[in-house]
Amino acid sequence: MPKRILLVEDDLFIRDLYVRTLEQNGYIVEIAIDGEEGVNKALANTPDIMLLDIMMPKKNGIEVLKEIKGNDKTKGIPVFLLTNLGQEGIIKEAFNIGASGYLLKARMLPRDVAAHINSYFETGKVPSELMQA
Amino acid sequence: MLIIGIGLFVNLSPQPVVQQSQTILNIVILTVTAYTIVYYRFVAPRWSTAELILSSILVYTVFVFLVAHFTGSLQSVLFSLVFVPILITALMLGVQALLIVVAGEVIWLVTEFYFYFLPFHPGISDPHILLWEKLIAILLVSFVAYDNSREIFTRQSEHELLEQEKETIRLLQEREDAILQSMDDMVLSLDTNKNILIANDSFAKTLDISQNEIIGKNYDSLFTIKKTNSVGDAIETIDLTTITTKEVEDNDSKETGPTNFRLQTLNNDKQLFVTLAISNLTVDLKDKETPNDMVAPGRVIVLRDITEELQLERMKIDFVSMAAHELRTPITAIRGYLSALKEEATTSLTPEHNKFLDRADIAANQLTTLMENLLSVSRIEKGAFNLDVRKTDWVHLIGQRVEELANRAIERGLQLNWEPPKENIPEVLVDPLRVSEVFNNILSNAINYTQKGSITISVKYEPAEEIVVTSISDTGPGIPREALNHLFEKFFRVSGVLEQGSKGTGLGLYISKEIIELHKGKIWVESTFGEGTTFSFSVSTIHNLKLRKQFEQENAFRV
Repeated sequence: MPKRILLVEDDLFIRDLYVRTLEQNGYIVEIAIDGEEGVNKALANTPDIMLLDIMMPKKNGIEVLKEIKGNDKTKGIPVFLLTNLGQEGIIKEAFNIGASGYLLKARMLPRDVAAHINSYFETGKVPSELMQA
Repeated sequence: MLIIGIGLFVNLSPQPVVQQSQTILNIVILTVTAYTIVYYRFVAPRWSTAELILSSILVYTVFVFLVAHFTGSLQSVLFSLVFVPILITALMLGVQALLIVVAGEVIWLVTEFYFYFLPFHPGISDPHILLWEKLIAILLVSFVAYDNSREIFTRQSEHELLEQEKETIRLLQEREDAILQSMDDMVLSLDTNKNILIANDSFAKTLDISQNEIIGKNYDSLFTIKKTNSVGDAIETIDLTTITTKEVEDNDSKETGPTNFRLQTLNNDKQLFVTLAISNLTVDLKDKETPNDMVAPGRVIVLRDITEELQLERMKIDFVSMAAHELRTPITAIRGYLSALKEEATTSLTPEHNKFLDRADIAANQLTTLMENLLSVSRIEKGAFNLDVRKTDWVHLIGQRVEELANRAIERGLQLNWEPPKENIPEVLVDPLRVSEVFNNILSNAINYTQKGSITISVKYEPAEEIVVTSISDTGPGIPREALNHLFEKFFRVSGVLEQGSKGTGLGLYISKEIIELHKGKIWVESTFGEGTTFSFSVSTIHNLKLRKQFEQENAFRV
């Protein structure tokens, strides 16, 4: 049974790239193009993991995270933030709300992201120190 | 009256029988008069105006009687001359001289009355004065008249000089005041009790009240000055009468970042960011004969409004951060797609096209590094470069980083030596992400700049100082001696060094130094030109309790 990933990312290029790489790694990828759609899709069909961008229209990543973690139905979903270096404040806040880890987009190629997610599903742990604050 | 008396006595007793004694008496009186005048004129330091008037009266009296003596009557045209010195004196001395004029007139009238209407003293029409008496009298009168006029002219010119000086001082004051008032900077002078002695126009405008309303008031009732941190939050209120120049200048502490001063007006609630320049008034009270309120010890404070500059500065920083954030998304996409292409299309492309792809990839990586570096520099300069310090297994971390870069070293035909130390190394206090950045940067440099040979990484624990020193040595071209001191400066590049694959930004080592210093560690370099280079840096172990506490206080350390 392939794992299902909900990718919430507003940038088309990045989204396509991640979708492609993750699908190549055998995941089923569902996409949301803004925060609001992300919350709706997470409620409609609970994914195994959620990759969440921060800077997005309608609802930003932190708002989405709050709603996900504030709802009994979705609060069990592991959420990984797709972030950039220099957003430490936001990352700290996200961990307080209940994020499981973060991925530095600019540092990682899509295959690295896929590798980290593979590792997470295999070991059940957040792989490297880059993933946890 | 005395003088009139003398004059009358001299002239009213010319009886033939006492002619000789009369002559002697005349001489005595003239000598005494001359002596008195000379004494007052030369021995006494300076005549007062009253003395001047008295001497003038004496001169005219003597003059009147001399004319009477010589001509035997008061009808002589010479009498008209009496008005010349009177008029001159009146013109020169102004109101005071009216006394002289009046006195002269009185003497004139009394004498005339005496000679014409009291004819029982006939001696006057029959003068028995000797020639030498006449000559002495003429000389005496001439001298006193001359001296008087000279004195009058001197005083006149002194008076003019004084007026000129006053005018000059007034002009100077006006000019100084104009300078003070036209200054864009706000200028304040305070006494030790915080009372405002002087405030210029610019300051009055800031407060929206007139200068007269400001002067003399306690400054606490008009405004406050607060020290603020880099983001503009007030740290403390400062006392302008006690703050030292050093405290004002020392506004760039590592703890709080660059500080500023904020002027807050109380009546119109304005907020301005200002720079302060403070100078103490050091007037020596003993030496100056100035009114007390002018020399009360206090200080002069110049405040410059830098609100706009600060805003521009912030905008610049924000612009860099914003630009970097905005650039990231497209660059991430470029790198992602390039890597996908490289992974999947290599076999279907010609070697040349593959080279193009490699170059595009390298350039995109450079761009990423540059952008991240610029962002780091902007954050360092903003004082917003925060650490997330954790207890870290150092050997494990270095091992991971070495592993990541091992392929690049192998690609360049270099030997990468990394042997974890046999001794037990305690955990260290670092922000793993930031320190990894430093290590990666130094190791990448070593790989990029070394043509052949090896790179050796070593980690050493120094229990005495509770630090762990990590060194990266290469067999590269080495760094010229003159460049060594500048290596950690912003935008410094060693010129003439052959670079391959990656072009430096001149920021990597600067950022590395800042990161290591934020960890309270040290970074240094040793190099022999032509033989190789060793970069080393130190980080503290968890046994450095003082540092741990400091990180905790800075809210940088999370267990």
